[in-house]
Amino acid sequence: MKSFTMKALAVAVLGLAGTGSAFALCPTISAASATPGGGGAWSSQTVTAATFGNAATGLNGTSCALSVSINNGAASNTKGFVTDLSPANETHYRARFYFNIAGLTGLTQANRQARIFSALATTAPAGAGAEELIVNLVGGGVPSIRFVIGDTTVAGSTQKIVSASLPTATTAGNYRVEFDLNSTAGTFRYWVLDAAQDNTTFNDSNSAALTNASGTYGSTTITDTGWSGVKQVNLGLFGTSTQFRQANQVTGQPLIVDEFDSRRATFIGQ
Amino acid sequence: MKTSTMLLALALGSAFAGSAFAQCTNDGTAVAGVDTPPVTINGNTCGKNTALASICSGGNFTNGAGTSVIQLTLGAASAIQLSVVSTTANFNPELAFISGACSSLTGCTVDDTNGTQTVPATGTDAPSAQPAAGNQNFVFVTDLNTESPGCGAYGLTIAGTLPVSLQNFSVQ
Repeated sequence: MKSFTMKALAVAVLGLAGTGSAFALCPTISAASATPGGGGAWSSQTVTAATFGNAATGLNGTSCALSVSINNGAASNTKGFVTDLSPANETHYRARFYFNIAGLTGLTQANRQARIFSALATTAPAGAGAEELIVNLVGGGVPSIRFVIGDTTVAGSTQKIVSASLPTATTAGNYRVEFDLNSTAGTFRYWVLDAAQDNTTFNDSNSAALTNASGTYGSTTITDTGWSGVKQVNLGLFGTSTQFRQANQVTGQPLIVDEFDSRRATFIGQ
Repeated sequence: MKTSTMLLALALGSAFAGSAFAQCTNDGTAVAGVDTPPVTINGNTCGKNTALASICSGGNFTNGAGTSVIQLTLGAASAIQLSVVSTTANFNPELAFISGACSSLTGCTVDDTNGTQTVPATGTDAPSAQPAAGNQNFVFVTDLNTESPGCGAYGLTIAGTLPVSLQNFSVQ
C-alpha cells in the first residue's frame, strides 16, 4: 500500500532552508488570525486574546517552534491555534506532536485544563459534537494528557475518556504525544512520552516498547463510525477552564508545540 | 422554636452539564428531614453520571470514573461552606457548585483543594456562583485527576449561616 503523508511539518517551520547555523531562518508568524497560518505551513490560524510567537528553541532538533499564551484578563473565548484542513474524512488517522509546558507554571491543579488538539469530522451522530477527538492538558502535581474520543456506546456524552500522566522528562517540560485513531478497527492507541528518550518509530509490532518506563502506551476500544472521519484538526491552546486562565494568563507563560506529523497509513518516523 | 430552612435532596439521576443533552432528573432518592447544618452526606461517585464528560462550561474534563450530583434547597441566598472527604485511596475529589438550572453552568466553579470550599469563593476559584433561595443549587463531587480508581466513597459536609424563621411560643 502506498504510504501517504497528510501533514509533516514543524509547527513554526524549521531553519532547514538556512545555512545550518544559528542564523537558520524561522518563519514570521502573524500575531493575529491569518490564512495561511503558522508562518505558511498550516491552512489557517486563529488568535483571540492570545499571543502567538516563535519559541527560540525547537523541541525536536528544530530551530524554533510555535508558542502560544493567553493574554492577561482573557475570557473564556481566548484561543490561539493553527488549523490543518488537508485530512479528507479520514477513518484512520495517526498523528504526533511535541509540546513543552515549562512556561505554564500554574499547571498545578487538576481543574486547570486546556485543549491543545482537536480533530473534527464533517458530520457526527445526532446530538454529538463534531469533535471526534480532543486532547486535553490537565494540571496537577504531575500534569497529564486526557484523550476524549467520540464513542456512541457512552450514553449521554458519547465521549470516552482515557488519561496518561506525563512522564519524567529528561529535558524539562519536553514531551511527545502520538495517537492512532482507527474507526474501522474500532481502536484508539496512544503514547505519552518523554521527548528526549522515546523517539522510537512505533509500528504494530513494537507499540509497547517504550524506552522510558515512566512513559505511557495505551489502547482502548471505541465505536466512532458515526463520525464521518477526520476533516479538520486544530493544534494550540484553546478551550481553557476558568482556573487555567487565572493561573496561566500572564503573557510569557506559553505552551510550545512543534513537529506535528499526521499519517493515513504509515507509521510516523518512517 | 426555630426552624432552619435547609433541605437536601440527592439528585442522582441524569445531570448532563456541558452536554448537548443537558437535563437533570431527580431520581427520587431524596434525603428528607435534614435541616440542621452542618450536615454530612455520604456517597460514592463510582459509575454515577458518567455522561458528565466535562463540567463547568466544558473546560474541565472529568477522569470518566463517575460524578455525584447533589441538589441543595436553601431558604434564602446565603454563603455556604462545602467540604468533602474521601475514604478511598487514589480518589482525590473535586467540588463544583452551580446555582441555577442543573444544566446551566453559569458561574460554575471547581475547587481542587480536596477540602473546604466556600461559596461564593475567592481567589483562584473566583468567581463562583451565589447560592440562591430555592432548589436550584447543585453540588458536583467528581475527580479530575488522572488516577485509579479515580472514584469512590466520600463524605460531603454542608455548613453555613442559614436563614432562621422564628415562631411565637408561650411560657406557662
